Amino acid sequence: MKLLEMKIVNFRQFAGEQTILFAAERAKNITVIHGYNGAGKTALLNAFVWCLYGKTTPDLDQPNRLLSEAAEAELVPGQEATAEVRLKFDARDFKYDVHRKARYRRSQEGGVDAVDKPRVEVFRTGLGGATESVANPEVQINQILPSNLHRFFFFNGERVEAIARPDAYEDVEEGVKTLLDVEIYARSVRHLQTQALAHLTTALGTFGGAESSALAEDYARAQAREAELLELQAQQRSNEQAIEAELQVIDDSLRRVGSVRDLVAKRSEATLQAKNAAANAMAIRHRQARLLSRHGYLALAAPVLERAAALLRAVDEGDVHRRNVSPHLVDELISSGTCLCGRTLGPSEEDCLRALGASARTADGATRAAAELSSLRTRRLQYSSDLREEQARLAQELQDCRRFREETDELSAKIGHPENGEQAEDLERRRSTEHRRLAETKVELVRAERDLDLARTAQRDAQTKMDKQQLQDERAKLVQRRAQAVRRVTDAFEQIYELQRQDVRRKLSDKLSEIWTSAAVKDYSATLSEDFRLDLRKKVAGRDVPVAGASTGEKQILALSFVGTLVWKAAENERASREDVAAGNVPLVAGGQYPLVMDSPFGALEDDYRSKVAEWIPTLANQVIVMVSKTQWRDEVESAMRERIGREYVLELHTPKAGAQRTIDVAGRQVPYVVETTGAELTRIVEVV
Amino acid sequence: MSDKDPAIKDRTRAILLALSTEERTLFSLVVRLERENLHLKKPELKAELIRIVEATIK
Repeated sequence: MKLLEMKIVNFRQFAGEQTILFAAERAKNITVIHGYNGAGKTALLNAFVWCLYGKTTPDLDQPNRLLSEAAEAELVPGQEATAEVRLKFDARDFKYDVHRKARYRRSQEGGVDAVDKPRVEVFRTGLGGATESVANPEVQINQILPSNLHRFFFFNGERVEAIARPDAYEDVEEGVKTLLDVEIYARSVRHLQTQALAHLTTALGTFGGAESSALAEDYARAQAREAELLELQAQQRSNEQAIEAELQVIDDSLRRVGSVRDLVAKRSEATLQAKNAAANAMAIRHRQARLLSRHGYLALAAPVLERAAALLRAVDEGDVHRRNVSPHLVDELISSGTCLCGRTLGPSEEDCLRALGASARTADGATRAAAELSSLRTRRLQYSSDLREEQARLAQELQDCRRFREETDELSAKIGHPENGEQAEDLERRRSTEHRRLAETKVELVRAERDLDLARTAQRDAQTKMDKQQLQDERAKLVQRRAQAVRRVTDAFEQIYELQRQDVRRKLSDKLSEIWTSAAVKDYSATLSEDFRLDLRKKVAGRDVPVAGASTGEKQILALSFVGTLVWKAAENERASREDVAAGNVPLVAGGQYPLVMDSPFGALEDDYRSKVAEWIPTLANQVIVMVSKTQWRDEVESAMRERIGREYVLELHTPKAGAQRTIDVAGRQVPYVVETTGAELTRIVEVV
Repeated sequence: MSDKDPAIKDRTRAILLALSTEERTLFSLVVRLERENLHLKKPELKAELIRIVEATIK
């Protein structure tokens, strides 16, 4: 997707018709838009989002008032005006032109209200030059850049750290899976199971006789139960995330209460230590289980080993001569028919030698068995020793876990004590309530998961029985064959989905770590966990632990790093997909090139972070649009980005406030920034050439 | 296969090769349906899926 041009008509601060052309060359891919506070940077960001999705970002004040004040001021009762945004872009070999309009009318009473719901039209022009109106504009836009991902590509840099919060994990995972085309497999599984298989099972019930009919009913019941449980599970997960987000807010608030700040910090540390100890204990239990499964038989082998040793000793203590006789020598003597002394062997002598050879083999075997036995005894001792060590470590970790939990409880009691003030007491009470709710929600989730397993097992059982049925009716046999094929294809989708999901997560995590490390000042590492959480981690006494209380700036860098990672991976996928198509293969993942549109990406950052972010942002996406105030556009930022700037604009704020005029230095020139005017307040988009 | 990681490619290929020819065709058609028809409502999607299954598995 490459943004070409945006036309804004009477939208928020932007009166009349105004146009922005975007830099789109490889070497000069940055468009910079300078704007004073209130000049319309956030409104401009929202112009993109509103045009494409009919939505606005949470930080846009009064989102229903889109018509510019200047246009409103000119309306007489009964007259209408339109707020409009028109965005042109290239995507997937088409040129798109998206128009969204909102009509407003001044009523007889004097208010200005929306006439109807805003409308969107999408036109696209193919390589051949033919232009068509797209029948399902919203769907078309969603296919190019899904709505649930827009916060990753059009964002306010000062709020982007919200991506790193618990309530964003599901969005992060969904965003990753949709953008990187992995979601297509999960959808395929869902549709094959709930649509195709359900249909085939019903058909089998119709054609296959009474037994098939009963099995089809069992299947349908279990499927309905599964759907019910999935909905419940989604609800509980959403509750869980909301509670975790609330807990984070409460913890952040507690950290700001002076009387308990130290106690809160200690409690965070103790909670982390308890969590680590619990995780270590879990890891030890897994190791014990593996030890048991591989070598557990040795624990029961002692009596057997002793008996075997006794038997072997008895063999060994037998005729001492047998121990010293080589079976191979005996075999050679028998086959040559001649004794060592040269005499020809008679039949009875051969028989005697054969008996001796057999006896010698037994002794030989006994010797080897004794050696093996000795090795087994050694392994048994080693196994016992390993188990004891693991047990000791487990006991230690459990003890640590208990200790840190007790410490946490004590600290919580202190934090919530009335002597620390009402605010701390109130926050602590809320925290305790939320923790209880969280625990209850987790129990519900476990219950739902268990019930889901049962429902899925019931479906599989019904399907397995249907597969095994010996059917007479030809139609029933055909349906059975189709159902089996659909099941195998569904299994393939599930396996590939899991492969892709984890592979994508791993690669994103590696790239995230690389991008974060290039920008970060502290010795933290950034990862995308198994459940798609953005995590910062650090080494404490040789152990890898999560960072508690990362600053807003650090979360901002983390979120920016993640967005950059996503854009990079989508572009990689697109390149790989094109190679596949060129080679005649079916591409399993699509991907795409996406721009980044950022309002104030440098706001909360220290100078070090600013310059690093400024250096890597242009490399993360094929096209970058940055909206900045004067204070954000400082030397280190400008010098890092200057060479890659293809277009530069100023949002010239026109205000009736006397003495408000200001200028801004853009590429060595002083240009108007705030202009005194006599009319309504408005903004003009002026290109600096 | 579009993924450059050989291990993933190999494993994906192995999964697909374990399917019959008909089933692999069904797999590709379902991928295309999902990718290109986000605009379809549920009944239309169901009808299209069933049509693909019946056309592919004979």
